Amino acid sequence: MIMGVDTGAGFEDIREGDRLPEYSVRMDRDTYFVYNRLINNINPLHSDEDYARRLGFKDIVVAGVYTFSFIPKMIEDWLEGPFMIRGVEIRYRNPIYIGETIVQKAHVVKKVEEGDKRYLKCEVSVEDGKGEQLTSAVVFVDFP
Amino acid sequence: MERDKKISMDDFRRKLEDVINEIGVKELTLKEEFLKEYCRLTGHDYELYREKGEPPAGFLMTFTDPIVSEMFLKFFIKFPRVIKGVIHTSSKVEYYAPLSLDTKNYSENLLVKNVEQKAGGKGDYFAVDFEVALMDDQGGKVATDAHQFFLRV
Repeated sequence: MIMGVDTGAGFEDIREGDRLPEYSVRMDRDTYFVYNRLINNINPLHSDEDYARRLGFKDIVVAGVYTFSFIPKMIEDWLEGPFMIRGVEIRYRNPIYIGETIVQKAHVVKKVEEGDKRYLKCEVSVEDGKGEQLTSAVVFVDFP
Repeated sequence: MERDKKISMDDFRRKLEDVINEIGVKELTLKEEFLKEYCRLTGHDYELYREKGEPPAGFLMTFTDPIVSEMFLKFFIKFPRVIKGVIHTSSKVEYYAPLSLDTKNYSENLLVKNVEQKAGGKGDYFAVDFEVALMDDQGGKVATDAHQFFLRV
């Protein structure tokens, strides 16, 4: 069951099922091309529309290395107090295209508090404007 | 013609490993200007992370990316026309210690963990699992960053 949205959450206040605030971001062409130059991305799939179409995509595909940035971000923006993101597992299920606005939805699937082990497991779904899943992720967050 | 030859999985893996061995251990410098620009382009509040003394967790893949990009670039130069398309299908990032803004020098290496041959509607491809290990200046493991790519051949 998905429960209410928490904002500025600390470990004690969080319950399994809690939803995180949704996070939307547009894959802005100019911003993304600057990012590609920053990392010297040479894969034409991420910069050349014709090449992407020849491979069967409908437009330039935004690289996973860029879209990855926004997944831990929504967790970091949500949590308060000391914590450390321990792991992120991602499956890129469908391409994210340049110009598209993605919506990240997440909820807490597991809260563990056993001795000195305190962590959260959150599931994140990255969707397009029509609700189709583009990427899924699991994030593990440790607390002291 | 080379482009019409089918490459075996073992030969493909050997070629990848040749290139990776050539690169060896790559030194990385955590530059403030680079991080600031990353934060600007991804909507992170740079000042917040500067105060914490740690980059955002999402920065890791951007920081470790050079060895993966270099591997592909060198592969394309050394073995042209072998790889016809690259698709990134999954990532698994594990953090053992936070990156620190006080640690300027890191090193990374790349490993091929697994290669599988697949047949798809648009031709053959290899599913390749790579793992990047990031170390701090004392040799302590900071993170591993594993990726699967489908490489069309």
